[in-house]
Amino acid sequence: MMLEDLYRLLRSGHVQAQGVVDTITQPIVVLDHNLCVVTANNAFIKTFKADRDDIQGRLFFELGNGQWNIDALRQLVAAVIPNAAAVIGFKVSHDFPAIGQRTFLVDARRLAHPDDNSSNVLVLFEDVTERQRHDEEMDFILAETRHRMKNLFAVVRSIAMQTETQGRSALDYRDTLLGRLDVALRAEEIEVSDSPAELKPLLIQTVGPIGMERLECTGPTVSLPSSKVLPISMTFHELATNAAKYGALSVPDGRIRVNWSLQEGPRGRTHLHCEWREQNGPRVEAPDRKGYGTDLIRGTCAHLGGNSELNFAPEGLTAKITIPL
Amino acid sequence: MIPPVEDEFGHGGCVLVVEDELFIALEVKTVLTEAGFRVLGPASSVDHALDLINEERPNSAVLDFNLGREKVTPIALHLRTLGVPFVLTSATSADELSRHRSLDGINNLGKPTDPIRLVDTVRAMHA
Repeated sequence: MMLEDLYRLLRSGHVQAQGVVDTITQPIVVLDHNLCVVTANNAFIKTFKADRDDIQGRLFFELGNGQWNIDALRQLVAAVIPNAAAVIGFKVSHDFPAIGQRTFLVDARRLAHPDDNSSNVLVLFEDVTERQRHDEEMDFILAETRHRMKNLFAVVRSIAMQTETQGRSALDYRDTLLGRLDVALRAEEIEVSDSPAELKPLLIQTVGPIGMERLECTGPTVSLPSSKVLPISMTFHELATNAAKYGALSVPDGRIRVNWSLQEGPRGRTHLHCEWREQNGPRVEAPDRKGYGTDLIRGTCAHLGGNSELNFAPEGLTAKITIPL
Repeated sequence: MIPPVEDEFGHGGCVLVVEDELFIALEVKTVLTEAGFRVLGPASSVDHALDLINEERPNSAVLDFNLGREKVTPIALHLRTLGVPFVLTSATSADELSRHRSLDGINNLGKPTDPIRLVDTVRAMHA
């Protein structure tokens, strides 16, 4: 074979091998037995913003102001040479001068050689900064979800406990419980949606189709903070349920008027004043037993630092509710 | 400030309850009331709870950690200053709770909270 042919053959082999190494996107560096840089691929030069001429032949642990001079890594790489061992996935979190805080997984192995007598070390870097950030985010979301689920379970349990059992049928208990669970679920959906809830649509939705034609609302636009969505919809739900069972919504001609206003309360806090007035319903008698939802309405308003006043007048129930927003 | 008074059942004493979840708050109140305590609140926010404490100093307190966007820590700090013992009922991880000095050494009964354990704990705080 002509020398020129041999040269061409060797050259094309070399170019191909170099091409492979430079195409790999992970930074790669080859060190000799003294841990001096023999060669580095393009990704290494690019990632660590190094100058090829500056690093050739220099001690790896002195590169870039000693950015790799990390004790644990030093010991590991040093152990690779005599023992033919490999370091795989050694995690290095470091504030690199040119590229900032990064986390790399470092692999170091003896470089493969046909005679199996190479003392060079191939070091591979994998940037896992983004992956790690993503994992941390996932962990956070998972923990948050777990927390929410625990909370939701506690809420469901409490609704079941707070729904009166005395003097009512299992069917009645079940319907009341499911009605309240529906309200709680819808409120939860509004809370996590992050869109502000408005009083009027919330009132109309809570009263439901039964009140569609018979509910008359008057009041300014009120945006409710998410923490007030559940208590306010629960209060309307209880009032509407009672109206459908015993009040204005239990007869065809019954009507409900709801008026509200915002007023400045003590210490500059805004209070919502809301009046629910039932008209043209059957003659009203004050309920003589619990489970009418009145306790729940009272408890709900008190929980928010407000109050409620239920007046069972013969011509129709009037409820006055005050809640700080 | 009015000093704590014994309730009509004569043995309970007054417990402040701070819990933002409506139904959980009502349940805690029911459990404690049935066990013979008088319940201050339940309060759903830091402001509301501080108002209640200023009206009447409780013998003890049962606190949730997350109150919507608020944390219970200002209340915990205030109760510590007043020397009022309290316990947490929170689903928040021990890790997160340990970051707040005002909750140092405070027992967390977790959530959902076992009502029997809750009553026993409050009794022990009043003993």
